[in-house]
Amino acid sequence: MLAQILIVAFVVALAFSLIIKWIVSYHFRKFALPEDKMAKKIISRHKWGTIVIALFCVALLIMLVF
Amino acid sequence: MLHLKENEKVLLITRRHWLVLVFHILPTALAFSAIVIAILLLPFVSLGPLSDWLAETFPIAEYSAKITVAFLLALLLLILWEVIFMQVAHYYLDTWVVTDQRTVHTELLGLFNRFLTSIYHHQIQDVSVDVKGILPTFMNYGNVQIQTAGAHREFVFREIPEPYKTKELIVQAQFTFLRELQESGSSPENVEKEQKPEELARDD
Repeated sequence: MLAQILIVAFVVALAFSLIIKWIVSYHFRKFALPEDKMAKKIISRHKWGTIVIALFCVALLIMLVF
Repeated sequence: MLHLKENEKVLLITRRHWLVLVFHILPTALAFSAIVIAILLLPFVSLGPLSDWLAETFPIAEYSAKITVAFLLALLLLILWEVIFMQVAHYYLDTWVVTDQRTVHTELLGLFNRFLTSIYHHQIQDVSVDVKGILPTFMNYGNVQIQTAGAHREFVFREIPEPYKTKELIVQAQFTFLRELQESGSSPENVEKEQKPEELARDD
């Protein structure tokens, strides 16, 4: 039961993260100046940071379930 | 995306001073760091009453209790990471662009609220600089205010680095723009008509 609760919490947090990422990336595409390399770096670093944290959460979930 | 005319040259792109970003994200960054340290120290500390409560509510061992706490802290990390991203985006997308013909301001006011306005140099009536406080004085950042004849009476560059140089650049750009208009015999209204339609001025 604990694992189910934690999985739901993880899915909700991930959905929140993806929605924020989608909205802010939209604003970067819409408002960033042409050929703005820093904007691409910011989006890229955010993407990889999210992936690392999400993978860490998945690893902990696997350790808990098994 | 900012649309420029074919012969329009960008003279300056500026944002708020980097210190302003640091002050904005510092509390969130500190919380983020504290949670990372807490997760790293978790294997070496005892959870005490929290472990007992978890064992009573869910039938799990102390080892599992620590993993559960680490997992919840990691979820908090994920949320804080998004908050930091929003704060950085808010800082980065707040831009002032000075070209040889006009000055443009774009700003992300909220997730569903963005703002874009521009003024041609012939509409500028007065440019003033405002540097208040110890830190702005020593770090050389402040506000540049432009009084205009347009719909937006006041156009403000907030907390930008080197405000005095920016003021000089705007004044010089205005002088050059008006001189070129005079030499070409064109009127300011014709310059505005040649411009393609811009992005929405305000999109809520």
